[in-house]
Amino acid sequence: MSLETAAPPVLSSQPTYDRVSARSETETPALEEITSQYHLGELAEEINEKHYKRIALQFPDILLPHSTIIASALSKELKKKGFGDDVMVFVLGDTSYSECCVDEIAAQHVNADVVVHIGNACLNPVVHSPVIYLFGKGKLDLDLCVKSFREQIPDTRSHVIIVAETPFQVYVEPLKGRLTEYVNILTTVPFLSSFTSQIPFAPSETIIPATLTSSISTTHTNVSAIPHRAHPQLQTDLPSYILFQIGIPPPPAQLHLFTLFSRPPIIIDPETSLPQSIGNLSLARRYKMMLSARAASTIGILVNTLSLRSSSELILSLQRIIRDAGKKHYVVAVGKPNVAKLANFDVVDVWVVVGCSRGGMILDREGDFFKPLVTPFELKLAMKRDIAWGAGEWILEFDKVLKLKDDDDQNEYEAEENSVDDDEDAPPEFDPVSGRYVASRPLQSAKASRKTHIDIEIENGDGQMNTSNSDSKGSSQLISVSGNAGQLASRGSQHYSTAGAYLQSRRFWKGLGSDFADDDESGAENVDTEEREGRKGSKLEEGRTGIARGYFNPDV
Amino acid sequence: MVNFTIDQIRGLMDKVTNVRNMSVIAHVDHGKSTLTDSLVQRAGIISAAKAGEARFTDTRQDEQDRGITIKSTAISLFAEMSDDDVKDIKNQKTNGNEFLVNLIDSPGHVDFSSEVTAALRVTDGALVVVDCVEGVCVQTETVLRQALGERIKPVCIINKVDRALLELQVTKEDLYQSFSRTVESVNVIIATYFDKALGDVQVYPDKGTIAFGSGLHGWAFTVRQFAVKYSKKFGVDRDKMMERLWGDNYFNPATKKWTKNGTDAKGKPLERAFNMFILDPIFRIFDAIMNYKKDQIPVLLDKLEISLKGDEKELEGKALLKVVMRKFLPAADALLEMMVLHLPSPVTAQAYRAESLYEGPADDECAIAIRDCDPKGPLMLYVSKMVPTSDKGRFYAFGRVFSGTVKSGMKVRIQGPNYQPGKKDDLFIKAIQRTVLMMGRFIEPIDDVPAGNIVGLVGVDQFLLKSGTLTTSETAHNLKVMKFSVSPVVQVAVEVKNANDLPKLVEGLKRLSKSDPCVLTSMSESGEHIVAGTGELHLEICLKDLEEDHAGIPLKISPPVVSYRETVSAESSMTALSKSPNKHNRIFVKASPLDEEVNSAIESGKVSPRDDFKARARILADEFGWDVTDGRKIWCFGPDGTGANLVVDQTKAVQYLNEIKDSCVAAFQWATKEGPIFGENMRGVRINILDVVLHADAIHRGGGQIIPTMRRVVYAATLLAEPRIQEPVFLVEIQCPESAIGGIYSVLNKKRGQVLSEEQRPGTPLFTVKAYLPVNESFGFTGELRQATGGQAFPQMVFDHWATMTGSPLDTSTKPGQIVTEARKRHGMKEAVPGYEEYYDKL
Repeated sequence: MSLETAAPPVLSSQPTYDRVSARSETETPALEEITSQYHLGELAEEINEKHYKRIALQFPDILLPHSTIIASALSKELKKKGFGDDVMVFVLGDTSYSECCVDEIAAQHVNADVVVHIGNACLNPVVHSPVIYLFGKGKLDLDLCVKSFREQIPDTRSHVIIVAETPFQVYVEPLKGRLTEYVNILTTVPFLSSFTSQIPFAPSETIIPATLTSSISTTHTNVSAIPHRAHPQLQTDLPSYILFQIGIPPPPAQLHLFTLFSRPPIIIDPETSLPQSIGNLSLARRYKMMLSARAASTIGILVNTLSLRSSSELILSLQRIIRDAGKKHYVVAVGKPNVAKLANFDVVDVWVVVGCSRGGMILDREGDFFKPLVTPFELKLAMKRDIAWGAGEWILEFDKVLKLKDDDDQNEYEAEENSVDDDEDAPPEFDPVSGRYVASRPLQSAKASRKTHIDIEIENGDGQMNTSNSDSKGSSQLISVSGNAGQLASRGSQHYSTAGAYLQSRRFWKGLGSDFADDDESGAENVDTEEREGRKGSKLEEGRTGIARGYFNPDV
Repeated sequence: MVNFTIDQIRGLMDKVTNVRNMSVIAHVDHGKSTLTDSLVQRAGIISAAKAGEARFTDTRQDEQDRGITIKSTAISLFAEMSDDDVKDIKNQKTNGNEFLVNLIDSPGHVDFSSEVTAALRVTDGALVVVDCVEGVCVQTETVLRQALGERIKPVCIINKVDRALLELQVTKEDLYQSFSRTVESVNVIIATYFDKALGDVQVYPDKGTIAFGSGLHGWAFTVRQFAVKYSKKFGVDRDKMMERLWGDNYFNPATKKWTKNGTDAKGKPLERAFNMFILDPIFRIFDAIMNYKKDQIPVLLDKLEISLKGDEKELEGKALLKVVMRKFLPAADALLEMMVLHLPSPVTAQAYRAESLYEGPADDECAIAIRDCDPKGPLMLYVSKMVPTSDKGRFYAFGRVFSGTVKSGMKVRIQGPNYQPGKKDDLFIKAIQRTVLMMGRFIEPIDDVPAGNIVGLVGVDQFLLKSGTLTTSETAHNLKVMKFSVSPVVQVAVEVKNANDLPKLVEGLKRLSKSDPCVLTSMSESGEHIVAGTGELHLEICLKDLEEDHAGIPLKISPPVVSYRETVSAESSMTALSKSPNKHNRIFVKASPLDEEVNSAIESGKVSPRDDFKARARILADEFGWDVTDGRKIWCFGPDGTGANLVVDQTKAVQYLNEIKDSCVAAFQWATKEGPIFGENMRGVRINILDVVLHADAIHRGGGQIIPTMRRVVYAATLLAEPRIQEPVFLVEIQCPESAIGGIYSVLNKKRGQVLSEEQRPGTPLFTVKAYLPVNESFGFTGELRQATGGQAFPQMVFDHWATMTGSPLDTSTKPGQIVTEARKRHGMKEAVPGYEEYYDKL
């Protein structure tokens, strides 16, 4: 093999690149401004107090341009206050999953003692790292905002609850202060799970400046149905409040807020400080997605977070209910999922996204994704024996989803299976989305024919995702042994793989050589499998090696 | 008393040559169910007094209330023929003179044509009922066309002759003329849909394939019956007599000679033999009884050898007429004679039907068993519809055994409509719990049923939604899926009033889809449950069933909307190009419209994705002027792999092309299912793939890169090819008196209707107006028409075709533009249709 680098392969006659449109440059703020805006003084105190030595700063993409300035400002601040020279400040690059969540994995790379999360935060608890949240201060025209408030809610006796995206939290109390004629206004404050003592292994979580949450101990004692917010005692039930929201939450959170209140929320766009119309939000679409999940035989569990607390429990729980429902699951971890990435897995009928309830969930509102995406809550409903769709209830948080009562009817499945004869098939299900019968329980029929599902015991207490690993290992072994996907799919083998079955029966393209199986130019449309097997495979030649950036070509 | 036993029937099932499977088909209100009654009465299932009014085969309450048949109903009858009759059975073998008639009464209303299709599939012969006054109507033609398409042999009865006699008071010659015109128009239709394999199946009174009668009064006759009577009397050969009793044959009583001239030697008009020998006695009975000529009646009865029983003598007027006519010319005799003598037995029929029934090769074991109607061959059974049982939510699978023998407890392969040999999709293995005989509103258990018979099955309903193939052979292909002449183009959204009822709604939708061959249930983009039916009446019945029976919960029902199709009207103005997300792959395509003939051929199954590609290319080239190489390079149909949109590979020597085919096919299904304009199905779009640039590494040209790209490029090409939308159009037929015609025209004009023809039916004051009416305008049409015509006009509307609407849907000032905007709003999409630039990438 010749090892000299050949020219990169000609991919197109004229290589073109899409230029990333430059973000509108915000002016570089002065040092003092930064120090005060990001409360670096307070942050330095906190770092010193807890004796953190390695500090990781996590920025959302929009603030990355300022990251170096903030990092050096922080170092200076630390030095100024004389908190030792051994403190190291790191800036984390882009986040692997969602920028509102604490990127624990990246922090572990630098072995950080603490992650300082800057910007809009989802406040979802993470597993290991201590976290300091720095919300910063978003730009908002308070006068306009007050005006919009008065326009939108003319009745001064209305019960209003004000919620802000975290960077706008600082405006909440001033806003209330300006609206003295409204007698029934409630404000909310960010609320961290570590404030409650029930969760034993909660790492330290702190919000800076502390003034934002200082009221927590006094007035805002009620944990709200609004995720990660606390508020004073309600005067009436929550649904009859009007939600006044500053800052636009991501779509899943919007939909969730939507379901909490009987009146559509008023959402203030910080760019204009005016109310923003809510787009295409409807639970009916989610209902359709849920029904698609019922009809799916293969479900992809899309892991869109690695650090959120209870995500692994949730994944295990999802795996269990999927398996109990007789369906097949695959666990896939994809960083920043998009249409193209997910369309690569054509065997998957529906995706369930395990991710942050704010930034990590995907609600496919335009129908862009090839296969439907559902939330863990929807999947839980979908896997129930009977169709269930709570009146308006739509849950996002992992903990609540985990606590949902599991299906009581599990035994009924078993009963039905037992009644089925050995070599008879279980009846298909009616899919109301397509109006057809679909056989959506591949594993149930596999069971009925006395074949075992890949049952990996999940008894080890830490309950990590080794299930998926061993699962795939098992499959690849089988493939390498038999070299025939057909055998993997056939019910004669020990394991049942829908991916194998898919490759065997649905795909026209079965690998190199299959295009030449039929001599006719129109392709191998009607070639029998036997016929193809009877032929010799294509000739093996040593080809190009290397990575996409540059290849080694043999004897060019 | 029922004058036969199940054992007798079971015995006859084995003598397949003596079985007749037939359906009764006609236009609405031409008297199918009433005629069927006379046969049911003959079998002793209902009393003679009730026959004609009971409509035994209308099993549902709403059928009885509305006086229309909604579901087709099967019944098995036992018939015994005289040796004389049996001798006359030509061209096929028989065994003894006992016969089993499996009869299916079908609905006549156009909205329920799919029931007729399902009935026709399991039968070999059809009794076409034509109203003597109204003549051949739109649905008569539709069902006859369907029957001939399925290679079903027709016989005909001209019904309601009593009306002609009593209401219209026609003369004998007028009646003859009316009969012969009707016969002619039936024959015109039959000749139009001539099928070589079936041969000439036109109907002729002098061959005994047409009867005349009155279902309501329970009498009917064929020329043959009279020929039998007179041949004995005159000692003439029966066949010769039959020929003479129809057409231009005259008998000169003076010379006692037969002649072809209508006048005698002196130029005096002669009476036509049909009038003289057949109509005359009937007219005399009518005259005597209806004019209360009491003294003549006994003489007449005596002459005709009719004896009345005690209390029957007391009757007079219509009641007496009924009794006398029924004794003189019992309808069952005439009908049974026609069926047994002229309709094919399963053995005869399957010989020529096999190739049109079976998808697989004509020489495999199943095809041969079907052809021979072999009870010992592999089981081939087609389930054509589901019949609800008394056990709610469960159904009998109703079908026909084409070969083999089906037994209770037998393990069978249940192959759904999407099954393909060698694959596992849509295939289930299950034991049949029980086999039953369908007897109208009753069922009778039966142990096994051999080839050629109609059967009900318990325990397979969970595996088949509407229809499918049951077999024991592992290599069996499917029996051909039925193609309906109607299309579910009217839809409503249904919602539960109480969210807790959702499971019941979904279960109800499932039961509804099972119970009706044609109704479609689905979900809209915005998450509503949709029920689609063929017309307003069909939907009304379906929704009533859903609300009261299948789901049993209160529902919110949206006003009906029409489903549209997206199409193109020209070739793309430039080559559409899309790049994959990684920019390393490019697809170049152009869209062009398919001819309407090709669309229809695809939709009717004449050109289908299951055909051998060479045969398909040949048809496309010969009949539709395609290039043969293009025809061979059709990658796929869409949506759902069967629709009237095509991808044609026109690339030259592209490496790795086969590797991306799966992705392109998947993307095409997706794109054609939800078109770019407002998410409706696409129709009549041909996508030509002109060139493809692919990355050399397989990993960079996987599904993730290709699927979204192919979808985008299809959208771009469509938007570049002068997109249009198509709306469904009904063919409307209205019969009314002349005075109502003005009203009809004014309503049609208001509703964008387009009059095709206006004809007076000869011999009657009735006019028939035929027109095209957009389905969208048809809502409330019946009511308005009734209002405008003082209740004299009643329309029959049947889906006819898709019409491309003029005007670009992208321009909101046009009608299509408004429809699109409204629909987009309703579905929660952005209001403006995205431009092609959204999907088009610059080179």
